[in-house]
Amino acid sequence: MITHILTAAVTPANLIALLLGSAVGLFLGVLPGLGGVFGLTIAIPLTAQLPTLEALGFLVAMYTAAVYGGAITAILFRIPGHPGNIATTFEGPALSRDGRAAEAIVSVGFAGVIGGLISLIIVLAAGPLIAEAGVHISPADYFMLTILALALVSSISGGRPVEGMTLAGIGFMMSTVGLNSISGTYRFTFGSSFLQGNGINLAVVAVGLFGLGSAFYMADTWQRPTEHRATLSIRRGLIPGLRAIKNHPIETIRSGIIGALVGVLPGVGISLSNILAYTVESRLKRNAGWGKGNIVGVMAPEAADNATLVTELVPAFALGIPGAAPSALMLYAIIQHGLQPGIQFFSNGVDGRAFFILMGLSLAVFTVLGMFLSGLFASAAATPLPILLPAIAVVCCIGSYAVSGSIGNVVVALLTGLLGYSLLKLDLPLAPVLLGVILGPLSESNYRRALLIQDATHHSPFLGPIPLTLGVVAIITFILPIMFKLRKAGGKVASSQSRATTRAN
Amino acid sequence: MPETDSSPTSSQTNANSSSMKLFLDLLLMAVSAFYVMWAQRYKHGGAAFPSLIGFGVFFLATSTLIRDIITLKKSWRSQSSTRPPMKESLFDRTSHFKLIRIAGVLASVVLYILLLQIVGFYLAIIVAVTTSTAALSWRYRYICISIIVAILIAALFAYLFSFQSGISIPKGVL
Repeated sequence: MITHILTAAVTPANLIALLLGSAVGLFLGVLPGLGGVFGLTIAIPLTAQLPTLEALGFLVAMYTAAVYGGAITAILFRIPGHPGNIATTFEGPALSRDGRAAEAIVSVGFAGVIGGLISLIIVLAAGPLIAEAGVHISPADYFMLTILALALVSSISGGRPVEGMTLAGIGFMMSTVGLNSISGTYRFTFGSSFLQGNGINLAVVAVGLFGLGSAFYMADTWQRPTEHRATLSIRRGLIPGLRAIKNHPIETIRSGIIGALVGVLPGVGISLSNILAYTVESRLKRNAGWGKGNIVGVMAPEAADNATLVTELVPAFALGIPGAAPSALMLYAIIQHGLQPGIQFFSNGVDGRAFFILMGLSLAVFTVLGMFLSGLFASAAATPLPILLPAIAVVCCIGSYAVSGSIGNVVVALLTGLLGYSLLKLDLPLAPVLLGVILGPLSESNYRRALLIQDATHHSPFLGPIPLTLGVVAIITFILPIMFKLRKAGGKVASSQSRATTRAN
Repeated sequence: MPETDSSPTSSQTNANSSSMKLFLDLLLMAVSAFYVMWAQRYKHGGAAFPSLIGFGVFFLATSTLIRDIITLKKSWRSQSSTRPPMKESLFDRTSHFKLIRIAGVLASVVLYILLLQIVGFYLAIIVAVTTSTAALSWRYRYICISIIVAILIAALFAYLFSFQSGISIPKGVL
């Protein structure tokens, strides 16, 4: 049976489809705001006439490669090509400045392969079971999960939890603009048809905050994101990149597992899993130089990303319930090619299993292709600033315009870009704002759904074992670092007082 | 553009950064207060959640403002003899260079937004990138700023004309 599946998957035509899909995906990933979803919407009708596995191979390679392309620009320019590359911008630019861009690009590629393979093994072993478990998570569990994610804000706030929470609050405020999915009313739209139709889009905020914000900041400081062209050689980065993987296998595998678990939860997706993987690693090793170019800080998010990409397809393919836009599009694509979603997709269908084999192969194909092409992107980083900065600004504009074909998105990107610039200027982190935009709709909708359940059942869903455990973990996660900080500060004051007393004596 | 600007003293940088922080704290307080008040309009469509978030942000911004005022006061006290006048620190030569550069990047975005409406997608990219590139090149700064201003005025007039007369200007006119 396995030989039969492998023979169906590994054909020259399928491999060419993977290669082409990866090339298109990398190109889309480099342009912020475009990404895999944009590519899928265009490519699904175009590939309708192709044989099933060739078409699905092309689509899946394009979607996964777009995330890797976004990681390259996140490392080199601090521009996440996709919301899944946000956490890569925390350490990537610092690594670039240290002349370790090539090492970061290589290690990110291989970490992504490991994360994706972990996820594939989990899916092929227990896909339907995982999908079933994911669907049974209640709104109260979800709400407490978002509170736990919010409690983790302090670890991406550069040691300033109050500022981090304030910035997350700004993100929450932004997320409430537009149509309220529960009540069906428009909020904070001020009569604008653009805001009523689009609200404030996550991808546009990411492009504005990180892309335009960085462009303004570079114009201010007049410093290139990468200083030396010589250090951008992928050949030179290959050995250090592989060594980084060898030195941090546990971190990579752990992030892959985190990503795989997050992918199962409908509606969460890679925009959260990469930040979660980064925060977990930064929590576990506090004094590892976070924010100053820690290689684990780029490997962990990308391992989680690729793992999520695989498992987020599971609820869609096993139960027919897509949790996010990409999985909905992929579900449409498999139905278009005559495959039926359901448990049998994982158990007795050759095409279903061959699809996941192709997904695994695509991880290797786009990593190798990405490493070759990243030399091209990397040399772009050494372009003189008067050419580079307007190019970044206009690419960001194109990306935000392409999200919904509206000029209003470019204006939103510009405003968030100015916010990003102010935050960078004040040495404040950008990620909490984005985390607020991601978590805002998730927490509000699930909180209100949980309240509706409470009204119907006269029983508080927040008192169940899962929400209570998550709540306690969230409180501990938020309070512990503050206590450590206070104790440290108290210790410093006590030691300075004792020194003063000794001197006086 | 000179690659190395004369760097301001640390006290000047601190004064600028502290005043910027205070301004942002105040702005955030005002925005969150307005946000909470506006949220009350949606009593039957989800006012509770935004109100809670707005109050939280207002509270955090107020506490940050108080802390920043105390920090600024302390730094002023410690540097009272050496503190330069605010006017000098805000409008020194370095800030002038920086403002021009930031305006150059900003121009590319604004130009793109304006030109996209009038001259079309590809021409908008070309014009926005080339003019801003020129704006960031130090030697030709006055010429480039003049070009940007001219294009902006032309684009604005064209846009207003098409808006008022209802005649859509054919793509590529500019």
